[in-house]
Amino acid sequence: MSNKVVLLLVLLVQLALLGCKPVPPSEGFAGLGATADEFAQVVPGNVIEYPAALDQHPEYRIEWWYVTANLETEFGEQLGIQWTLFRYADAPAPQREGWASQQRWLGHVGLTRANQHFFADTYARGGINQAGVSPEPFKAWIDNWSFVASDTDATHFTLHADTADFSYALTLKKQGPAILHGEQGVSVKSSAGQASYYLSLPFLAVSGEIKIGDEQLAVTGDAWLDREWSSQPLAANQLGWDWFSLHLANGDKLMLFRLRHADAEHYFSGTYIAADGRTQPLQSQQITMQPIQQHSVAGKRVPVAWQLTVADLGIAIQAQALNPNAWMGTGIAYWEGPIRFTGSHSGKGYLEMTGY
Amino acid sequence: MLHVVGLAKTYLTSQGPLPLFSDVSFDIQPGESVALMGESGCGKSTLLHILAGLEQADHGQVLINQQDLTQLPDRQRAQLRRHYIGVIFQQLNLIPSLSIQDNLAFQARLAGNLDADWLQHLVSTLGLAALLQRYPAQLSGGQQQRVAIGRALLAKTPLLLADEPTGSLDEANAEQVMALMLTLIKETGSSLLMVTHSALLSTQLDRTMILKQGRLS
Amino acid sequence: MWVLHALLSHWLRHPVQLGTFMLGLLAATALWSGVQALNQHARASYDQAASRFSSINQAQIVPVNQQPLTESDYIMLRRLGWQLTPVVEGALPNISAGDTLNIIGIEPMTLQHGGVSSAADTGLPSTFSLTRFLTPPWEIWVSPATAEQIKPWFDAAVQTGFPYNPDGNLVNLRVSSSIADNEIITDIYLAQYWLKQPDQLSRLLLLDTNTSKTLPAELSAHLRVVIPQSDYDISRLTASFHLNLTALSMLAFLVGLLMVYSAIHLAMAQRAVLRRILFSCGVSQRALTFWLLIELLLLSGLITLPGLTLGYWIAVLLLPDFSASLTGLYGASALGELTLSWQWWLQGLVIAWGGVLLAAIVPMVKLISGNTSLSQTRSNAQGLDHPALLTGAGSICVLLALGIAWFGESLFSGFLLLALMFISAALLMPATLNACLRLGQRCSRSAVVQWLWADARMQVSHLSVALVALLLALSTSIGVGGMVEGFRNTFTGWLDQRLAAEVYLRIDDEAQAQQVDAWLLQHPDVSALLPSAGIDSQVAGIPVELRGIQLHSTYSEHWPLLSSTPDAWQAMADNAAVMINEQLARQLNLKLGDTLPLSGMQQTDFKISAIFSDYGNPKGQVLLSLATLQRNWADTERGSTALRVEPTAVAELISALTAQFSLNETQVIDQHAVKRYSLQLFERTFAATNALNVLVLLIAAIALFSSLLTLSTMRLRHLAPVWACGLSRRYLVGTELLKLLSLALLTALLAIPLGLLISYCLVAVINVRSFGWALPWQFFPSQWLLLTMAALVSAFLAAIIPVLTLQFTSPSSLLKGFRDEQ
Repeated sequence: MSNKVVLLLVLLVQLALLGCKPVPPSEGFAGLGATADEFAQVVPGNVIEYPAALDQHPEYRIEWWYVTANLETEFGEQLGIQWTLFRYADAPAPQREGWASQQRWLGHVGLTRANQHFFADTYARGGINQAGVSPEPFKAWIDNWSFVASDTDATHFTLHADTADFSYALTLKKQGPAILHGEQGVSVKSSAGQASYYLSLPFLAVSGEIKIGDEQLAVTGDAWLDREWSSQPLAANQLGWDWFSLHLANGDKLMLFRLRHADAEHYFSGTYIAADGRTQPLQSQQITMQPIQQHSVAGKRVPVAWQLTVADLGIAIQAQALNPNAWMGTGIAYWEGPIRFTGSHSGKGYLEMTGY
Repeated sequence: MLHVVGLAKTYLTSQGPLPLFSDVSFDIQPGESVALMGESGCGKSTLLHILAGLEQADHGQVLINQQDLTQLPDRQRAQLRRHYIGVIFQQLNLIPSLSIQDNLAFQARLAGNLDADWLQHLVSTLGLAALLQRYPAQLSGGQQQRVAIGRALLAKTPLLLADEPTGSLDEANAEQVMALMLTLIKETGSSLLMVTHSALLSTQLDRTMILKQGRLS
Repeated sequence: MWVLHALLSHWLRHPVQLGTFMLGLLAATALWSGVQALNQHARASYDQAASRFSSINQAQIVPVNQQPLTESDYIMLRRLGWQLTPVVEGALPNISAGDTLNIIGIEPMTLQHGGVSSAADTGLPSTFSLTRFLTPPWEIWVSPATAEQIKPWFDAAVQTGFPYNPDGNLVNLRVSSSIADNEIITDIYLAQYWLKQPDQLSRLLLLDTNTSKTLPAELSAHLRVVIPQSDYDISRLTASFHLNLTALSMLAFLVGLLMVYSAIHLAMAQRAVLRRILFSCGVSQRALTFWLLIELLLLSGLITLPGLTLGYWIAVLLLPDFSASLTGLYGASALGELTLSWQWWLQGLVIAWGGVLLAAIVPMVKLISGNTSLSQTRSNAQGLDHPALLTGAGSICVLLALGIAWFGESLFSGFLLLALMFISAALLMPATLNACLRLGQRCSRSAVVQWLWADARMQVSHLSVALVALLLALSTSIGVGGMVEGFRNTFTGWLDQRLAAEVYLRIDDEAQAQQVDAWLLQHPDVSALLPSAGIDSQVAGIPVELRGIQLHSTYSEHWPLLSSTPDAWQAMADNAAVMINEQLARQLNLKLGDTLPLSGMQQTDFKISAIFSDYGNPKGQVLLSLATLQRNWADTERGSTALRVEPTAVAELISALTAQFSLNETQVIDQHAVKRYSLQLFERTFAATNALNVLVLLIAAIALFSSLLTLSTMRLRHLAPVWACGLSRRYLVGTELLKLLSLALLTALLAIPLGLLISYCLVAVINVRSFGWALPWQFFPSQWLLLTMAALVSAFLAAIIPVLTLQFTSPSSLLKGFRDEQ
């Protein structure tokens, strides 16, 4: 009986917060487009430093810590994992303490094999330490999921997740510099100027263990951390995005995204990262991203194979999802999974598609 | 046998009193058979019912076996009927819950004068032998009337009152039933007063009375 | 349309038939829907009660040993991966006596986890906004009734405490009918503030079905995981209670339908001529069927509305007793005002239509196929409609019932057995009556007596439906009455034994309890002080209550045991033996001498030395010595203390205790008060049953009456030939009455063995399966006599009008018997 009540309240909450109904275009994906003038704004000229940038920025409306990893078992099986912590504020500063805190936390984890895909999410409110991020050494957690640096320089990390279907315990080793996207870390998200602070650790070597049911797998591979915070990252007419993080076989990295508009040209952006850490921001007109294969999952049509071209850099590749059913059926639902690509370059990476 | 003096009957209807007949007097001798005729609704049946003690007259006397039927209480009237009067109606004479055998013997047993030989004779004469174990609802109209006649005759009542006993039968059946009845009445020596519409039938009886505009002629 | 007119005109010419039809359907719908209204209302109220977070049926973590559950406990568990959500609750302080408003603080962020977003159509307030709920000025959610109740606070000038938030602003008031009355749902932040419990939580609800985790050592001292068996919730417990009522209302419905059937049957039979005319006028069979159906639906539709209204009022009348017994027996929260959904009305209409169509199907088929009147009269003459068919069906039902009695184990099969008993009795009864009467007819000599028997046989064929109704009503009365009376006897005796001590004390506060104990030990009139303690546990997944008592002659001399080993009480003291209640014994199929596995600290196997009766307890109970209990379980809760007191000194002691320690009447309980309460509860529990019983009997009497009234014109035709043959009218009237009374008597005599069988089925089968305990099968001949008298009186009342009609009918109308009515 009480289970029923719990369910009722669950529904109550989900209906309200996470929008089972289609998001009206005027507010962008998941409300990220609503104006928020009272929050701190993304402005050029702020110096973004690592590892300080790993800490939280509660005066901004939203931010996330986003780890994806392309892994390989000792038997050569390809798989991918995701670990994400979101923070958002219901109200701007001043910050309230304890249960009254306006901060909300949201954790997503996923695991994708060629024929299996698992995900889980969890929620927490701020102020009570159920979830949070603290610096020196950096630590991010929600319930028993955590992303923790073992040193104050934040060069070694452990990553944990534990769900009913799977769990993992991975160690991450930073092997290259932190990367700032856009103009000194200010990544513009629309021609109207919406932007976010955006930092990545694309050079992370991973090793560790994954458990799926009773199956225990030893894995190694490459991970990518995205740190992004802002108060209004999307334009009101932007429906969602398609985002790629690519580990090229030659050690270079490439980040590409496209923001889809309801009523205008899509907005493209990206960063080319050489193996030594030098970056080259890519302009909207330099990039073409063309879906070449659609797939039905969870009642949605999503593109699971892409033609990606950056002609100026001689890049023309075809990317293909490892598992086209990598749908994250969480409160905010989206597609997120590992990909492989061939063409002018080959390698692997991660693809996230929202707003479908 | 039957002595009727100054009998009168008026029905109270919603349109006011409806006089049926008045000052009706006649006698029927033992063994005599009399036909009572008249137009529909003239009161023939009512007269017969009064004579049977089933209905009350307004004035007058009905003497049967020196007792004035009109003065007797219900219980004694029933007694008198049981012993002295056999009644045969146009239809529905039989007790539906009893078998034909029990129906036949009913009044005789009530009166306490069941004569087994006479029963045997009546059954064979009326052709009822095969029907004895049946129930009234399983019999045809003609068969039912024969049983009714048998019942009335078996009790050997001195007076038989019959109200169009063959009125609901077809012509052939009617003739056959009537013939049987008249033959058997001869054998018992009972008197008969029969209401009928049939002039042909009335000629088979000793005499005919006609009830017309409330008077007997 | 004119076909319908022709059909309907029949009812106008036969008002008695119409009356029977209406009354039968009215009674059937009213009783059925009345009981359904109560059941539905109760279920709705359970659902609403389920929204109380105090419900014990959710797996949860609760604090024990008087230590608080803190926020850091909660966070520690969350960060260990426990899926749980905190609840803070408490009564709102400063509320006038009588009102309790419970604040329930929830944490919506975690509450949503583990959720399945399947049913978006649950009709929940779409206006709920998490942001509004969690941000200033915050919100409270209440039911419409509670909203009315707390409105004044919102207008008050005081700007602290409820309903002002810590910032000194009024919270937003939100109203939703899905919230229970007297509950205020709000965020945990405000709940802690208003209840003045900073940093404290009341309970943690487990959201995860997988609860195999064990609490970490640092928490296990003051927290406990409570995992109730989800099956044992209130609706499960009360299911048998509702099933009982439903069965009884089903019977009432059946009896009402029998009336409907007899009216329709007659109406169809009398329309044989009309049918002929309609056919000859060019109405097809299909059209006739159609219009007959329309007619029935129209008539029954018209009657259903008042029937349902009547049902509503029956429910309103029965509600207080019904609610009291649910509360008393099962601890269900009291039912509020009766509200009915549109489904209830619709359901009533459907049931009524279904019933009427069921009752009409045979007569209608007969009419349409044209074998009504003739075959009817023919077979009637022999006494029965389809004797062989009915008897055959009845015999099959008897065989089925025997099979179910042998193999059935569920409560449902118990009710099926009961239903089959009724059905076979109903099917076999006409043949049985007929056989009795035929025997009488065979044995009698005189013409009149023979005719009486034969005539009675024929009447039975017309009255059989009404007599079956009477039989069912009488046997139910005998069965249920016997069960209730037997229960009353057993229960009173049991109460006397069980409540042997003069005074019971229940003090939860340990310190105060010790003071009181010390005081009592000094008191000269107190000859024994017998404390008890308890703890909830599980045996084989079934929740049981372990109760430890201080062994004393008070128990060994009085405690009502069903069966016991020799020296059972001694074994409890010496060998840590236990006694279990009948419910548990039956549920787990335990016998004397068996071993009961319990998770004690020193001992896990306990020998069963006795089984005791424990009426009215829905749960299993294990009785141990107090020493055994406390040796094996650490955190037991103090139970009531039994006091042996000089009977003359009881009143004085109670007032002294009350004055000395300012105890209230729920803490000091006089033995007499408990008994009074228990018996009162008992009476209320069966009040609804008794009321329904009387109503069923009433309907049966009405059915008999209307049947006789309908028959009275037909009777003239049956009686007239006899009258003409020389039986007086008074004699006929007398025998008519005698015959009907004899039929009623015969029915009553047949009802007694049937009633006894039903009573046996109730005490030995239904009771065991629905409550877990059996009752002795007892006989109450005075009840039978009373019911036989009731049957005779109702038959007399039913017969009196038709018989008087016969007495005072003019000879001429009797003579009409010689003219064919048709």
